Parts: sequence; C-alpha cells; structure tokens
Amino acid sequence: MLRKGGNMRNIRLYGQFLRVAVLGKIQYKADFLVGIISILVLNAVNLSLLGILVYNFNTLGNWNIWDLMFLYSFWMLSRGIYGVFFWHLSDLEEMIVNGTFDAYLVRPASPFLQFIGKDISYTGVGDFLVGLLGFILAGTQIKLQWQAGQWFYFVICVISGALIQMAINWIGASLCFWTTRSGAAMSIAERFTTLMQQYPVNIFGKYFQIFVTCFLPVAFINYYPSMILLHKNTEQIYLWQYCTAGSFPDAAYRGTGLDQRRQKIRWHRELKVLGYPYSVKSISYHVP
Amino acid sequence: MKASNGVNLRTGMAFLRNEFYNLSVYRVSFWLTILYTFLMMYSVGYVWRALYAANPSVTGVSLPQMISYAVIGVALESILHPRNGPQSYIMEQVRKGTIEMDLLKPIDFQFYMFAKNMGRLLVRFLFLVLPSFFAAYLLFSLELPALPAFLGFLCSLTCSVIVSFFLNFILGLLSMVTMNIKNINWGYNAVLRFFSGQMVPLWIFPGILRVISDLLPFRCIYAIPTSIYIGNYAGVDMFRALGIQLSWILLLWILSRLLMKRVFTKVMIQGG
Repeated sequence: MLRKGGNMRNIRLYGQFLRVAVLGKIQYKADFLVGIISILVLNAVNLSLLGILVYNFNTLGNWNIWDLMFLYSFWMLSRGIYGVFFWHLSDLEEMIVNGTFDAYLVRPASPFLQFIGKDISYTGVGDFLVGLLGFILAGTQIKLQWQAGQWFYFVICVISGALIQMAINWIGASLCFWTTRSGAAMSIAERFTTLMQQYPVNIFGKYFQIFVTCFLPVAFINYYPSMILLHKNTEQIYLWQYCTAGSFPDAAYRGTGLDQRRQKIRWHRELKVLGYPYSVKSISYHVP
Repeated sequence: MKASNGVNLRTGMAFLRNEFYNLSVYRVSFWLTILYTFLMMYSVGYVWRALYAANPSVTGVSLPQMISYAVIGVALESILHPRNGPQSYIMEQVRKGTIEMDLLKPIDFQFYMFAKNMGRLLVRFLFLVLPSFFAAYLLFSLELPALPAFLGFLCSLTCSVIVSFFLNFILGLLSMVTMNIKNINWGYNAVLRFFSGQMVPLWIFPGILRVISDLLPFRCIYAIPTSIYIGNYAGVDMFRALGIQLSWILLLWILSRLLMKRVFTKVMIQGG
C-alpha cells in the first residue's frame, strides 16, 4: 500500500514513530488512570443498559444474556486493538484546520505513516481488558469448547474487526480534506457503531442487514463471526459478504486520498480553497 | 435585567445570529447528522419490536408508545447531547489561553455562554429536531400526542434544555480547574446516557437503580419530556414532573453561580 521506499522501511519507521509516541505518553500518569476509569464506566453503562433490557425481557431475537455478552466483548476486544493504535484518527481535522499537517508533507516519509504513528492511546487498553473479562465470563457460561481452528478464527476476526473500525473512522476523518470538518462524521460513525455492536443485527430487518453488511460493514466486526462461533447458523452467510469486508480497509485507504501521488495534487487544491496567503506554486513539496 | 452587565435581549439575539452563521458553514455535518438520526430512529424502533415480540407486557405501555419514546429520544439528541454544550468551547479557550478575552468582555460570563449556547440549540432545533420529528411521524410511526400532553412537552423540553445547559456549564467550570475535560466529559456522557432514560425508560429499572435515577437531575433531560409526550405522565403527574424540573433549574443555577465565583477567584490561565 505504501509503495515508495519498500515495506520493510515503512514498518521500521512505524515502529520508531510508536516508540517516540510511547515515550511522550509516559509523562502523564494521572491521565492514564482517569482514561482507564472513564472507559470502565462507559462499558459498565453500556452493559448495564443491555442487562436491564434483557433482564426484563429475557431474550432478544433468540440471543440470551450471555450470547449478548459474548457479542459485546467480541467487539470490545477488537475495539481495544483499534483504540491503542488508531484512536488519534480524529485529530486529523484539527491538524488540517491548524495547518500542522503540512509538516508531514515536507518530510521524506509517507504522510499517512507519519500520521498513523504520531500517537498511541491507552484508552484502548481499558476496552481490551473489559473485552477479555467479558469474554471469559460469557465463555464459561456458554461452555465454549473450541478446537484450535476456532481459536485461530477468533483471533483473526478480532484483528480484522479492528481494521474495519479503523477503515470506517479513516473514511470519516479524511472527509476533512474536502470539508475541513469531520468531527460530526466521526462521532456519528462512532455512536452508530456502538449501537450496532450491542445488538444482534438480524433484529433490525432485512434492509438494515444489507446496509451493515455491504455499505458500512460493521456487522463483520462481531455479528457474523459470533454467529459462526456460537453455532447460530440460522441464516446462510455468503462468500461475497466476506469479500466486502476483506477489501474494505484497503478500499478505504485508497479511496480517501492519502495515496501519495494523488496527495500532492489534492493538497494543492485544498490549499487554494482554504485561501492560503502564499502562492502554492512557490512551495515545492518533497513527496518521496 | 441589568443593562450594565450585558444581560439583555439584543445581545442575546446577536449571539443567536452568529451561531446560525457558524452552523450554516458546515453543511456536510448537517446532512450527516440527519442521516445518523434517521438510521438511529430506524434501529431503535426495531430493537423495541424485537423486545416486544419476546414479552409484550414488561414496560406497561403499548408498543407504539414505546417506539415513540425511543424515536423522540433519538431526535432530541441533536440538541441535548453534551457535545452541544458550552464546555468544549470553554475548554478550548482555556487550553489556548484566550479565556481571559471572554472573561474581560463587558457581559456576565454565564449569560454570555447561555446566549451563545441557546443560539446554537435554537438553530439546531429548527433545522435538525423539527425535520426529525416530521420524518419520524411519516416513516417511523411516531404517535401524535393529545393537546395538553403536547403543551406540557414543549414546556418540559424548554426546562430540559436549561437543565442540560447548567450541567454542561458546571463541567465547563471544572475544566478551568482541571485543565483537561475530555475524560470527565466522557464519564458524564456515560452517566447521562444511563440515568437520563434516553435509550431505556427509567421505570423498568430494577429497585435501587430506579431510586438513584429519581434522585439525580439527569432524568429531567430526556425522561420527563418524553414521558409527558407519550402520555405516561398525565394530569397531576405532569405538573409534578414540571415542578421537579423547575426546582432542579433553580438548584443548579444557584450551584453554578457559587461555583463560578469560586473558580474565578483562583482562575489560572494556561500559557496566558
């Protein structure tokens, strides 16, 4: 995906960026605690609301309380991974508006890589812990007996769930290249995903299922994998649905314009739109 | 209304106009919010249908009433979500060190924030909430209320906007002390979602949680206006609910004035 300079170099660079980010983070310890606590509170709220509903109504579209717990912690695990590495995607808007993104364009490395490696967040750790706890709890109640293959499938699904969330948020964040504001888009995607991940998708009817399968593939984060792992194969899952999910992160990356060749052109246009005081042509961006 | 500290209608109108221009700049955000509201209304309706299919007698209200409740909760989010409160503006000003410019203005700080916020909310109400209600009526089986319930709903909604402003404003004051509000805001958001009855009605909460939710001000924000709308609070109950809202407004107003005095005496400006 990041063509110039070879993939090994990019991976090494990313590692270096992350190391710097971690060193920067270690300075603020109080923030760490508050961050983890607020994540725990948030999850407790989501789970209790769901718990109250199911406590009153017993089941939700033939999923019982532990199935739903499994579904939720599945999402939390992938969200934790997403959060640690990509939580700062929402900073893009601020960087574009303030003009600090320019610094990435003049350095001899991919702007995408620099932006992704800019920060690391521990709010994700809280989510991951909640997910792990919920998974163990739900797993013992459901009495899961998985073979090695199922465990492998589970891990793969958690990682791809993280990538799908990254892709969706990346699309949302990079809207600000055109509109300069993407906060609304991102918080909307966030709240919508949150709602979707708490309930089994099949209760929302056919059209919605098509929407969250093909257009905004959040159903692949936890719903379809959970259906397979909990043997809830009441409906068939077609191969083409998987194809959508598999290609989504890549499509997101390509489609939203941090591809370097297009970046240069697009950036020039953006600068003109924003009415930068200097002539755009007088600056020669070093795009490696 | 003393003219000396800028508390008058003309200043208020000026802020309102300003906020309208601010919002009209970002049209993509507007359409996305509309899209989000539609998706959410559609999906909460289905959640309740699925729940009622399993057990229709739990909540004590009919399914159309319950769907109306849920759909209104979503529609009101455009004005009642803490994201629209003044606290993020206050935090941003504190962080940049420009809050002193706001404090030096010849106008009472709280009224300044109130006018600014009300302008924002009024614009959002006209362009986001009203279309949502209309769409909900046409597409998502929102029921129309009886006339007294409707009038009660309007009064109650006004109160809930004010309660929500005071709570947000208090958070904003806290940000002047703690310098970082992001995490507190998150926690507040979570607590609000739980105890305001936006998604799950408070009357089906089990024992102790129900008592706690009755004692907190958060139910003034979503639960009371929405319950009045669907006719769950009628007659005397409705007036009692409005009374609860009014007393919370009074209490929070006094609290925020006291807090504001304390914070301003030892306000520290980061980098300013």
